[in-house]
Amino acid sequence: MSTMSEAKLKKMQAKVAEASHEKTDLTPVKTLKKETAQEKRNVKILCNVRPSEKKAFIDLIGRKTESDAVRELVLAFIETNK
Amino acid sequence: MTDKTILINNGNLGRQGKTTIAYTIYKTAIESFKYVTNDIENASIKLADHVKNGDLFHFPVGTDIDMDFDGHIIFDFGGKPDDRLLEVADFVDVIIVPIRYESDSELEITVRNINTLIEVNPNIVVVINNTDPADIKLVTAALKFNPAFKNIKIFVINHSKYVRRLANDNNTVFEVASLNKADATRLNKTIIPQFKDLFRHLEINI
Repeated sequence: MSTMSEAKLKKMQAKVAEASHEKTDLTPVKTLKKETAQEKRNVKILCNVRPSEKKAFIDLIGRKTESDAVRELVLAFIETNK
Repeated sequence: MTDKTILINNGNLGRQGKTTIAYTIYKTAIESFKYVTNDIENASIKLADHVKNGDLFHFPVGTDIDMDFDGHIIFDFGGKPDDRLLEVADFVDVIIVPIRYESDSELEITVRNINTLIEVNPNIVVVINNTDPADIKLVTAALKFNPAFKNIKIFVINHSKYVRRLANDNNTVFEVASLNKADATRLNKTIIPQFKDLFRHLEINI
C-alpha cells in the first residue's frame, strides 16, 4: 500500500471511529396505524433440530412450504392443549 | 428451502444500488420472491413493468404494510424516511446494506445507519457497490476498523457498465450474459462471480 493510501485509510478510519458513537434516527415520520381487520402471519416461532430430523420432516411435508407445515403443528398443539 | 426474508436498505441514502441488488435477486433466484417497495416511483427500474403481477407490493410511506408475510420476501426500502423501517428490519432474516463509496460522506452515514439497524437485527451484510476499485480495500478496512462490525460480512460488486443495462434495458447482468457470449465472457470474470458469492452467503439458489 502506498503512503497516500495509508494516509487516506487513516482518515477514513478516523471518520468511522467518530461515526461509531452515533446512530441515525431512521424513524422520524410517524404513521397513524389503523386497526387491521385480520391478524397477519408476521411473527416467527423458531426451534433447533438435528439435520436428520429436519430432513425427515421435509421429506414428509410434500408440496407444503416448511412454514405452512410447522404452522399446522403449532395450530394442532394449540387446539389439543386449550 | 426455509422462507428467506431480506431487507435492502442504507437508511435514507439513495442511489446506493438497493434496487439493482433487490431486482437481481428477484430475477435470478430459482425461488419465487415477493418484492416489496416503499417508493416505486423513484426506483431505478420500472418495477411495475418487470416484477410479475402478484409478486410486487407497493406500500408508500405512511401506509400500513398490509400483506401476508409468508414465503420469500425482498423489502427494497429506503431513500425516504420511513417509520416502518425498523419493524421490517427486526422481522427479516438478513439486512443487506449497500454502499456506493464516492466520498467519506457515504462511509460516515453508512456507519451511523448500521449502528441503528444492528440494534434490531445483528444479521447484516454490507455490499460495496459500484465503487472505484482503488477505494474498495480502503472502504473494507475502514468499516472493519469499527469493532462492532467485526461479524459483518462484506461483499463487493464492482463498478460495471453492464449494471446500467438494468436501469436502461431492465436486464440483469445474468440476463445480459445469457444473451451475448462476448458479454458473458467479460461478466463471468468479475461481476457475476461476485453476485454468486453474495447469493451463496444468502443461501439463494440460482
